[in-house]
Amino acid sequence: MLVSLAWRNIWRQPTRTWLSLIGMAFTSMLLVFVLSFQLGSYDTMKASMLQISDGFGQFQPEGYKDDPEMGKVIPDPDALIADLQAVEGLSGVTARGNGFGLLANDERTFAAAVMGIDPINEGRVTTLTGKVTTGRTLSADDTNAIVLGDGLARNLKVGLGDPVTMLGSGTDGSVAADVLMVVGIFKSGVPELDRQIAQIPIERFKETFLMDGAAHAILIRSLELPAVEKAEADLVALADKHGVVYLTWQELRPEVQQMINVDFYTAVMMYATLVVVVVFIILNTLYMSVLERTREFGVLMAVGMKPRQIGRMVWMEMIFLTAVGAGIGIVFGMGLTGYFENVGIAIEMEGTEEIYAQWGLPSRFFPQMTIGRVLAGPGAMIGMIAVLGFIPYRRVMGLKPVEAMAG
Amino acid sequence: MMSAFGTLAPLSWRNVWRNPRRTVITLIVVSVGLWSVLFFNALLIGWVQSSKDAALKLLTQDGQIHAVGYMDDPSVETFMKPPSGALLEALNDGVIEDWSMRVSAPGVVQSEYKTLPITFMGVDPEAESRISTIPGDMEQGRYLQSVEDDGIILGKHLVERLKTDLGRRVIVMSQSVDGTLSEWSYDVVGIYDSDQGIEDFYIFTGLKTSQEFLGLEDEIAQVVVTLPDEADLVSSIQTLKDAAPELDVRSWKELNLFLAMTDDFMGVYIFVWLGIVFSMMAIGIVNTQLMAVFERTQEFGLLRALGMKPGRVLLMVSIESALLIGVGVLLGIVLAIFSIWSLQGGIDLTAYARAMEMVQAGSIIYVDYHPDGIVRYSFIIWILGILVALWPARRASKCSPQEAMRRDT
Amino acid sequence: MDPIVTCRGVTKTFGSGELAVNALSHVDLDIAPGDFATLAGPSGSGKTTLLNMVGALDHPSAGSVTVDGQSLGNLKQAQLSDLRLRKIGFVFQSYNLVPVMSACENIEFVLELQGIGKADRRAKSLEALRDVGLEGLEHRRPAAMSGGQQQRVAVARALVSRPAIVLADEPTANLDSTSAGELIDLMLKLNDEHGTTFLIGTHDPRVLDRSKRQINMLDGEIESDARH
Repeated sequence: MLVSLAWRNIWRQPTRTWLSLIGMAFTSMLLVFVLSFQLGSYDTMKASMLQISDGFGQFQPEGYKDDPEMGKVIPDPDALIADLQAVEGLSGVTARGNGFGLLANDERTFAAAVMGIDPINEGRVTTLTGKVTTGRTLSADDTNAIVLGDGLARNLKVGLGDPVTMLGSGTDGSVAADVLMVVGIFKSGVPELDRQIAQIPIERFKETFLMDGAAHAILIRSLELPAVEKAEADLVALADKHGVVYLTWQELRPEVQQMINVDFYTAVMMYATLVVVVVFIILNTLYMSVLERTREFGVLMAVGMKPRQIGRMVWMEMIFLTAVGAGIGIVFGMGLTGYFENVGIAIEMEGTEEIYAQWGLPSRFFPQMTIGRVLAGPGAMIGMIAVLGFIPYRRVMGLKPVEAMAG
Repeated sequence: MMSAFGTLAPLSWRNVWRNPRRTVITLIVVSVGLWSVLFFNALLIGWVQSSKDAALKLLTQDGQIHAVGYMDDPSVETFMKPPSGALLEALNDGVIEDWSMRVSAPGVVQSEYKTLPITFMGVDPEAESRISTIPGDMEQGRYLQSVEDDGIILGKHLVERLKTDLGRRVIVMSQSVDGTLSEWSYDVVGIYDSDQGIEDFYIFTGLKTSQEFLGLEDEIAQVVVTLPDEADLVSSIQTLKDAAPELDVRSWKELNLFLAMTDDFMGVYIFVWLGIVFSMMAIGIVNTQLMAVFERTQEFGLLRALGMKPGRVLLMVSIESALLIGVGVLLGIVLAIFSIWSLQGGIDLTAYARAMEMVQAGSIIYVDYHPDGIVRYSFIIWILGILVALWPARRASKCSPQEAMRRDT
Repeated sequence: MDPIVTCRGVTKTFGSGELAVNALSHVDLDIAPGDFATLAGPSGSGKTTLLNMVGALDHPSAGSVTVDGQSLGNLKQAQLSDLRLRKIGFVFQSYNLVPVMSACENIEFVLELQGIGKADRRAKSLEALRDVGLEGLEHRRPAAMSGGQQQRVAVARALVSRPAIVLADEPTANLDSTSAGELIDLMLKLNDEHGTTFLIGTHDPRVLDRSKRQINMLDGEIESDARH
């Protein structure tokens, strides 16, 4: 009967209860949507930014990251690559040579970062190769082909079929020279990449730069970022085994995680404020309803109800109110988010297209619900109310029949 | 009407404080809500401002002038002549605060250990010191002294990667205007400490030195301008465009779309937040005020029985709400001022330096009071609050004289 | 027969030091089973305070109270609560009933507190309502009943557990003459037919006229105690 009584008590003042429920439902719904969207976007952003050219993780020689030198190499990349085939969750593994040289044609000379890539596997790990707009990407049969970023091609004033001379230094410091043929020009939208990167087949790279079969890095990729994160222990073990280091994406691109953190923490501050305001309103509703019934509680105690029992009833009222409010909010929130999960949200304003291209972002963002994201906001709200609900509860526990009946 | 206010106001004020607990609750809801709007507004503005300062004051400044075609193909072949005629007049006549000429070309720097790609810049040190932050960020050695200075300034991180040092020599290579590769050695006379992204790529020498190096006469790559703080960006840039229609004149907003978007977006963001926060506040206000009216039905009925018209009752209760919310608004302003004051030293985000560089924000965010924002949002919330409180006020005015006679059992 | 209620030297002091006020001073009182007694006196005479003592709602500052053989002095709050639940019935001036429950549910509520099963509760509750002449109003909520009817439900609730004594504090204060008269008739009837003991605090002459034993109080002391 206490349960039924608790439920009925909530509805004594329907307007007040409805307003409180709407407040809770609205906040819950907002938080479900916003968290799913924000964290879902972060996932998209991370993957987008990483997959252009870095991959989701890399194996590198020790000390290479802080100070990349031609001489720092992974001596037997094929062995490591073979072992990586056995790691669960990876969708792509590819080796790279990173060099630097001066590219020239008749009239122009420009410095460029020269990447030796594996034409078969590179496309499984990064998207840069897929951004070729003129000509084609490197293929397994290519010997002296080169693919340039469009800014670089423009600066060098070369087009498809033109020869390009390359001058760099090999692993032993000697001069590395080569002549290559332009087969493709890519446009990633990232100016730094388009103006500075040239790709040649890794076998050619190894020959020209006297690598003796070695590579500078091995990049890996999974379909979804979490898979690589889960396999980290195995990957680190493999790195140890082969005498190299494994770098997580956070180590490769620390600013990406930092940026997400900064954005997230500022947002959380705002959400927290909202939760606090709503919780305050609800608590006020509960407290007021307890105060209004002081006399009634006094009579109930007089006829034999114990303060603890009244307390339990009040607690139940609080749970009902909160559960219904948050519940409605979660349902609507999931509905709204579910709709956008399919449709996506395109944020289009002036200039956004170029910016997205620069960062490799898609033009549509998709919220992504997880149990955590759906329950975090309403959960925080319910948690705070449950803790602070102690206040009206304590008041009830402290009631004495005579004082209470006096009002 | 005014006399009505006169008699009702003191009564309303006293009524506000009759039930301290309920009044305090409403005050807290209103003040916390308003505080959040004012504080986050200051925070976001501070963020955008620090971004602008950080990003723009390095090398972008407020606007840039290039020859047409340079932006697509930044090399010696697309340089421009120094400003003259109408453009020179426009630059000197007061619309612009300051301006400087630069040579900028892609090239390579080589130490004993390494060769790295860089952007080679020739600058006018005197003008640069006025418009860019880099001259003030010297960590070792000195900045350039004149346009003929033939020393070179490198970024700290570049120096580390090249394994070179102050007083040593480096070789710079770049394509000169006749198509050949120009190769000179320079003494490292200064090392600057700035954003890593800048340090890794930009090296500086005197303007004339760079022109000789590249085989130029007096051609330059760009003119950069700064505007006075209150200047209107669009019209100032338009003045320059009009003065030099054959050149490519762009404001920072055209050069840095990301920053431009952040700047524009901020205003929208705050209004959305205000809407959300106010919805919650409205619920709080209506809830407490409805309860107040409910408790006082007898009293209102009595007033009606004594001859007070419903309109007057509505006015009286509305004045109560206006006063109550007004006090809440004042409290919110005080809270906001206090929290902004306590952050006067700036919010230190240097731990996130790399990320801040990436989103082009400064590492230290300074928050300011923005009195116009304070007034605007406080007023909006106050008015909206009074409007929302009309609902309970209307309920009050509907209490009939019979209520006065009835007693709750 | 042993008295149902015994008070010996009951004193209740509020406040302390110079501000101390004796609401009750050395009150001795016996209520016999089957009594229909009224506590009369002006405001401040101590009627309500004495009823609170007898009703185990409060402890005296000095003296002892015994109800149905049980001395109240040693009992803790929980035990007093149980006593009130099973042995003492209350009818107050107002706020007797829970507004969101029907008449029947209001009565079933105390039965549930006593641990009585669902079917029994319903039967007893309906019977109690019949006893007070409210057949047909079982599912009405208090708001849909007159003041007199609400008080009668309160009486039904007080009686349903066959208490040792029913205490009433100004039960007729909010009622019109007819309802007041009906309420008093009801209480007298129950007193006659079931032998229920009543102690009623009141200054309503309609009640005092028909009381069987009048206890007059003044300034916290019993002035007179007469049976009619």
